[in-house]
Amino acid sequence: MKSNIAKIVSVILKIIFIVGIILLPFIPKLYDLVIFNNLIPFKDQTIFYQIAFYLCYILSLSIIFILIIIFNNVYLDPFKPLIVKSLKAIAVIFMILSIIIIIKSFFIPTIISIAIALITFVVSLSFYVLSQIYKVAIEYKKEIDYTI
Amino acid sequence: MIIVNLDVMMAKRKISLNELSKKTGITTTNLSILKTNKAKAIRFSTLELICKALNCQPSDILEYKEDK
Repeated sequence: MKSNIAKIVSVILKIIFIVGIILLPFIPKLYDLVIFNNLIPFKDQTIFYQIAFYLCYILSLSIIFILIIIFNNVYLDPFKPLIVKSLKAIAVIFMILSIIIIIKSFFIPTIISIAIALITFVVSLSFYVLSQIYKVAIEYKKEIDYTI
Repeated sequence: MIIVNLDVMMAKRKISLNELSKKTGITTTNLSILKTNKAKAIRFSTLELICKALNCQPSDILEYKEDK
């Protein structure tokens, strides 16, 4: 049974995902709006930077999509192997994000990018640990289910 | 590995799964899991109920076979 907070979180995730997809074609404009005048506009950035930026955006959207899948399934049957796979997928995506940001930091080193790279790396590890905990929990559940 | 010979004992006592379920209070689903050797573990209380209903010893139901 979903609690009220869970319902709100579920709605927020869906809204973020839908808004994220709608805003995908307007990334350059949004970038120029959010990033202030002292930085280079999106269209003047290098092609690698633009690709990396789009890639990070799409990867972030895919993380939200997987979170929605987890959130929908966890209330139906929490001990599904699908949840372990989803958690692992999030860990891998965060690792890719971390690698992209680390590569970016080599060319444009800023303290914020290094900090974000570290955070995404730690989050990736956390999700991997969580997936392993869940995997063990599913095995325990199976044993309990087959204890007569 | 441990083999559950419930089907053998049931055949010996000429008792069906439904009858055993009624006698022991264990659901047919769980008895079926035991019968098909899918069970990972068995509680002493369950074993006691089955032994009581089939009038047998735990050794009649459980058997150890070496893994190949």
